[in-house]
Amino acid sequence: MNLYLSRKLKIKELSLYFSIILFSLLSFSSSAQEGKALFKQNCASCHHPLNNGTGPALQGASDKWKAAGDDINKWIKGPASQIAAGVPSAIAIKDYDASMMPGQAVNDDEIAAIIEYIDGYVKIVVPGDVAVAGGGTDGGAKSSSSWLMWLIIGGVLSMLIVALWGVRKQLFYAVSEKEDGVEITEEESVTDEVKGWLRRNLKLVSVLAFIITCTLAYYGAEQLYKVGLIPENYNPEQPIAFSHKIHAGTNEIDCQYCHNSASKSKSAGIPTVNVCMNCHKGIQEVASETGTAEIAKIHEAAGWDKENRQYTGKTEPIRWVKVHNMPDHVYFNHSQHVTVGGIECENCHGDVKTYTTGKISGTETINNLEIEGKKIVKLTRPLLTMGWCIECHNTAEVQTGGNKYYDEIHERLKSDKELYKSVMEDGVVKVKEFGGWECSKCHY
Amino acid sequence: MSKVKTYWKGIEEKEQSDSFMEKSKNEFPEELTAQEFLADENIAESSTNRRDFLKFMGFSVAAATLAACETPVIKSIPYVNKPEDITPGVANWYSSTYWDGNDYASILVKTREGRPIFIKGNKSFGINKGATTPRIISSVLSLYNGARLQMPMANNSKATWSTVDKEIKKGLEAAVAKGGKVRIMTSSTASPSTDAIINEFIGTLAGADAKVVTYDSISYSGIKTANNNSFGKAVVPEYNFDQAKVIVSISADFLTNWLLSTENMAGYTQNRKPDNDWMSKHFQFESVMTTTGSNADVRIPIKPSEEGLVAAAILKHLTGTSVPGVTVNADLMERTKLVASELKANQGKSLVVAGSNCSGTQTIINAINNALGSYGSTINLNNPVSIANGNDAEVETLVKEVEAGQVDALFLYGVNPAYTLPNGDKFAEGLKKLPLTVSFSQHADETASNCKFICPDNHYLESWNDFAPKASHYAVAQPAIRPLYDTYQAQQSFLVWSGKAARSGKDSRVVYDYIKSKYSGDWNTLVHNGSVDMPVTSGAGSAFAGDLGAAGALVASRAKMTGDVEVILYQKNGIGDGQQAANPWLQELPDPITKVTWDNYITMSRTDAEAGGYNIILGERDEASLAEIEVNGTKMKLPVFVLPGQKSGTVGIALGYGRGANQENIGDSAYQTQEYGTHILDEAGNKQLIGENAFRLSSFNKGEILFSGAGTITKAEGTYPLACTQTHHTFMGRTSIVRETSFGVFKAGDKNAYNEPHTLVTHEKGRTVRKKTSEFDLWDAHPVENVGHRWGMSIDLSSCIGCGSCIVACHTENNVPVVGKDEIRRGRDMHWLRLDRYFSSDEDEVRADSLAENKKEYSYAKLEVPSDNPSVVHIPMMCQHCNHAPCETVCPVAATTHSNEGLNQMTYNRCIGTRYCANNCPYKVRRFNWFNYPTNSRFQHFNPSQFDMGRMVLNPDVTVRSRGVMEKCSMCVQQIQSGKLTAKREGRVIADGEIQSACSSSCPTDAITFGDINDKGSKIRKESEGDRAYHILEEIGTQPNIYYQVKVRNTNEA
Repeated sequence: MNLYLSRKLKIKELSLYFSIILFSLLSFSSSAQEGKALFKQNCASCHHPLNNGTGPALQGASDKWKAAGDDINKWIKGPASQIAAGVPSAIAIKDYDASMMPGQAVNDDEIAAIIEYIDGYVKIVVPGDVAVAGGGTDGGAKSSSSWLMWLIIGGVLSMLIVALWGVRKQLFYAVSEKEDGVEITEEESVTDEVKGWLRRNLKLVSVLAFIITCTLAYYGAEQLYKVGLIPENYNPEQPIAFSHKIHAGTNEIDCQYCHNSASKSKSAGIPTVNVCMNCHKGIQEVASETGTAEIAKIHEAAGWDKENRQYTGKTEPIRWVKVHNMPDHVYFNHSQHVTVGGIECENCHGDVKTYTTGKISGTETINNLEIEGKKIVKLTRPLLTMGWCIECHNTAEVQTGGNKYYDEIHERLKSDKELYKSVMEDGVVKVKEFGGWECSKCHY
Repeated sequence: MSKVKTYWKGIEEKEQSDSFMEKSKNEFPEELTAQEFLADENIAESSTNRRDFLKFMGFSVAAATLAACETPVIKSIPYVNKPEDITPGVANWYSSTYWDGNDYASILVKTREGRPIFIKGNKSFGINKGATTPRIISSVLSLYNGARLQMPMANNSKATWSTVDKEIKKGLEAAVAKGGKVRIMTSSTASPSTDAIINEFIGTLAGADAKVVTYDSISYSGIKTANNNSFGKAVVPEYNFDQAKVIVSISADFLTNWLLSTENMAGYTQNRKPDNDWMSKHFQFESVMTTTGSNADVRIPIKPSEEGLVAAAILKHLTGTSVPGVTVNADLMERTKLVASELKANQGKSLVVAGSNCSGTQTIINAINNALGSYGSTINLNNPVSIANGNDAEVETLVKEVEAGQVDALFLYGVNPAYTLPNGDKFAEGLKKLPLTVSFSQHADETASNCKFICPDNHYLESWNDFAPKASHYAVAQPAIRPLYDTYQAQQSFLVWSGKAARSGKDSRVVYDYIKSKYSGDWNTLVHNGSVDMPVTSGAGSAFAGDLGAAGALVASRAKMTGDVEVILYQKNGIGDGQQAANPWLQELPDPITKVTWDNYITMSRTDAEAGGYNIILGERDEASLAEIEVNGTKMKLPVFVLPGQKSGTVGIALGYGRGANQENIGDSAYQTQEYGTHILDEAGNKQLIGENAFRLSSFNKGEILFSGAGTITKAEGTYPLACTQTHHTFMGRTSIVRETSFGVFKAGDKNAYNEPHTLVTHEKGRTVRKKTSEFDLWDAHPVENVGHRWGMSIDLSSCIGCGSCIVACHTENNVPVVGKDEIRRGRDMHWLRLDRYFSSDEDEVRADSLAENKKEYSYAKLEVPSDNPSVVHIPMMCQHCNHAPCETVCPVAATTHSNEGLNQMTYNRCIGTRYCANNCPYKVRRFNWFNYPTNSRFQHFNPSQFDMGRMVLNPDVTVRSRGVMEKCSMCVQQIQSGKLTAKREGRVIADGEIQSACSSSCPTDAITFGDINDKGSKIRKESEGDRAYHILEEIGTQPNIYYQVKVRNTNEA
């Protein structure tokens, strides 16, 4: 129930946000300014001036009612009575959606201001909007591979140059031999020249060779160390350029509203389309056309016919790309860490509310996070490696307080005085002391 | 006790045959060559020279390096609309009911993300009290059998429901117009709704001669006929094994293969716990050693022809009246004397049952039970069992009609007569002649493929159904998954043809609505519990009015059926009547007694085998001799397996094999494969069957199907390899494995008399002292005692009946690969849990003394070689989770380590496959992944993880192991972890019994107790400290966390 309430709240806030970016570049008359504020306050959670949402698009509605000889103000203040009275315009609109608009606490002046704002509303396309950021293919993976690619290309090119030089030389000999009939005594070849030079500067060459070998070995080893690791800032392209920034950041939607099995299951759960549709039935655009296109993908997946406001039944699941991959032989359970351990999401996922699509954060980045009211365990090993897991298991304290399970284990520990002493020496119980370093805790 | 018992797993071990001795020296029976290990057969067959090899190597190293640099892209696809009750990663459990015409149980189905992956008995509700059989547990895999029909078939080609419905209706109209015969042949449906639906269907066929004929492949028709003769009630009564102090069974394998065997198991073991005040005493007369016989206190081998005579002899002892026309010889009278006196002493608290389908024998049994006053106490005629409604006489008539082409429309539901009838081939021929034949089979099996139309039924996990296995019980089955294919429940098809329903797609609620409308109680409670008890009117006791004269005539004629050799057809715990012959888990399940996998064979006594010149020693290189058996003119050639306990002069053959004789598509695993995993083909390109169809040896005799007969047996040319696990994983000559005693000794209360702690001799201050093994330590102890958790198991050898449910459950839960016959022959079976079956016999010299002492006990055995009728112990053996584990100390990479919860952990990702641990394990419970079972083509036809659908059954919480690593029992650590987590999340202490391993949760007799030994109030704590608790191989000081409880037999020695 709580979730549901907060969801409702969030919708309102979300719409609010959209309104801000949409209209910030417009200038309005003072009445329209007032209308805008009133609209945001009273109408925006269901209505949009131009688009059908939970409620119909409002631009031109007032004129339509006037043309039909009906009073829209009465409708806004008390729709039920208008339907009961059989007002034609009210009858015409009453079947728009299953849920009926409640009467709004606005006076006639305020309604006039709102209508002025609505009718004067112009859609504006904001270029390069925040909502379309993301979906990038940038990241560590690319930079390291491009570095390698340049090296290879460079190598191939230099080989080509040397080869071409050799060919040119041969051709030159052949031509001069044929044309001039002069036999040219063969000069020293390039290789011989180089060899000679090397022989003459033996000391310098050996020092250089040593340095180069060591450097290559060092960087080679470093690269090999990273084989199989998911690179920092891994941020694969997703089918929908979803923005955590808008959802979790600006709108402060709780992580577990969408990833709702994190507290009760091993998997945190990628939100199912029906969860998206809780809000996106109403919210159909961000501040730009691209944002609209992304939301349209949700509608397509859900089989939502925007025009007729109904589900067509033609659904198509969204194929997200998994970002935080665990090998098959690792068992990781979110609920153990989130619910029992009380670990913050940010501790492993970084400050997601600043991301667009999901990405892997770096250990350093996470260590530097300072989020009010959240305790971040600082670690050194690369994210998602076993070293990183067990480092945390050796650092993090078990949250035993008030949990009868741990009370029982604590009681049992007292039967072995020596062990009890060694565990409780530092006053805290680490995960490791609970067997958090044992193989079968994660591998089975 | 002056006896010295020897325990042996097979004749090979008893005789210490050369190959056995050689094999037992090696942990791994045959080394794989490097070529075999590294490559698949394609490379083995190609001609690769050294240069090419180096090129390949270089290329693959480069390719692997490059591939490893890329982060794999893994898609993650959430639901569009998540069903409300599914949380990804959390299992859902549904109660349901299993009934396949042979096995019945109330079950719980575990689903993950909508896929059923595990089945166990429902311990809270249902008549079976949580008991199941291996077949029921394995049935989840049959859901994913790739050979299931995906749509209706017309004349063996794909069709649509609308055309099929139209054609069938047309056929029915023609039959009705003609006033012709319409026959609906079903197995016992045990379902009130199904019966009602079929009756409604028949009601729409006014004008035609329409009738239901009930045919059970394993028929109990004789019991019904006998009860009709004796009491005027043609019913199978309720047998209460839980009420009986003395149980006498004549060839009834009632624990695993007779009537409501799951209920029997639950009831029987209740009174086999030695800690109770009394223990039931169980006598078994039988020819082939069955699971039930192996658990009897006294087992008396008889010939099938003697079944009726034994009954007559007991009756004579009890009442003094002889059965007219039956002559019982003095030997049989002598052998039944003790049984009769025990029965007499426990009148009203005893139960006599017979497995025979001969109504004569059953009538005499009724007379015995009547004389004993069993009716009203251990037998209840007023609570009839409806799972065995078959009527053999009607079946015989129908078979004749079909063969003569006199039936106008034939519907076949839940039956496969072309396979199970004595003369099924002729029946199949007859089918082709009929104008309208409709089968509801899920596969185009032996019968269905000869039918005009196949309207495939849903799998039971996709269906709604209701059952009344007996009058006092009502149960429902609910689906655990939406139908995978375009199939409909037979019930819906009948309703469609009755014009009462329409085909309504996969979300059809037709049958659901029908069943729900008939139920008056609270529907949701019913579906939640799965079953409900119903009131039974306690009718008056009926007086016995059986005609012993007629019965005697039948028995006498049956007793004359003695030939060269008498054949008894029996069911194995795995394959049963063959419905699930394509289920690789069941094929690979070693038979509880013979330990043979993937085959049927002729079981023969050792005396007969020696006389006939058959091989008595089996091994990887010692193949079984072939024999040709002929019964009633039907011949078949099968290998001979020498089975201790088999009555000399008889042979046994298991039913349920030889499926798919005409290459019907019933599943890849139903056919034999060879070394590289391809099917064995004959010259015509036909796939070779697994075993032979023993139903062909059954016969109709005076309107009753007989599952025994007489015939001749001759040694045939050639030998045949059998994959038998009985001598795998032996204990290297160590003998301190089995501990057993008698009830009298146990009740006398001196623990040292039956469970003396093992001590070792040592010197202290110049004196010799004996110390317990636990006082000798090479290593520091793991701090597991009393601190944190200490997971352990206690296995009660008195309760374990050796049924094999635990093996299959372990297979299912832990993604254990199926390796196939060829690999099993090489000793490379992968079962994490095995059931060691030890025969035991007394040493001959000592026997003479004991005979003098305990004349009563051994009066039967006088005439026999001791090893011909050995007693049997079943020992479930899995990783013992030793606190001082020998495997842990030898692992060079610390891949196997000890947890502070007492578990011996196996870490696959760390293992490099040296196999030192397996060599050093005294219990021989470690298994090595010789191949990449999920991908290697050797296993393509039977490893479920290689089937498109089959891999749906894998448990997502357990790693599928790769080649080159060790694996073994983890004590279901995934369950332990998840149980702990649930308790932590809910902030409470773990309740005793909350966490169960797969084996303990599936054990039908509660022989396996799992729990936290450090939990002072727990059952496991109590059992581990009990007087019967001991460790296997205690002397080597491994200090296991698995306890065994001394087996107690209710024998007369004191």
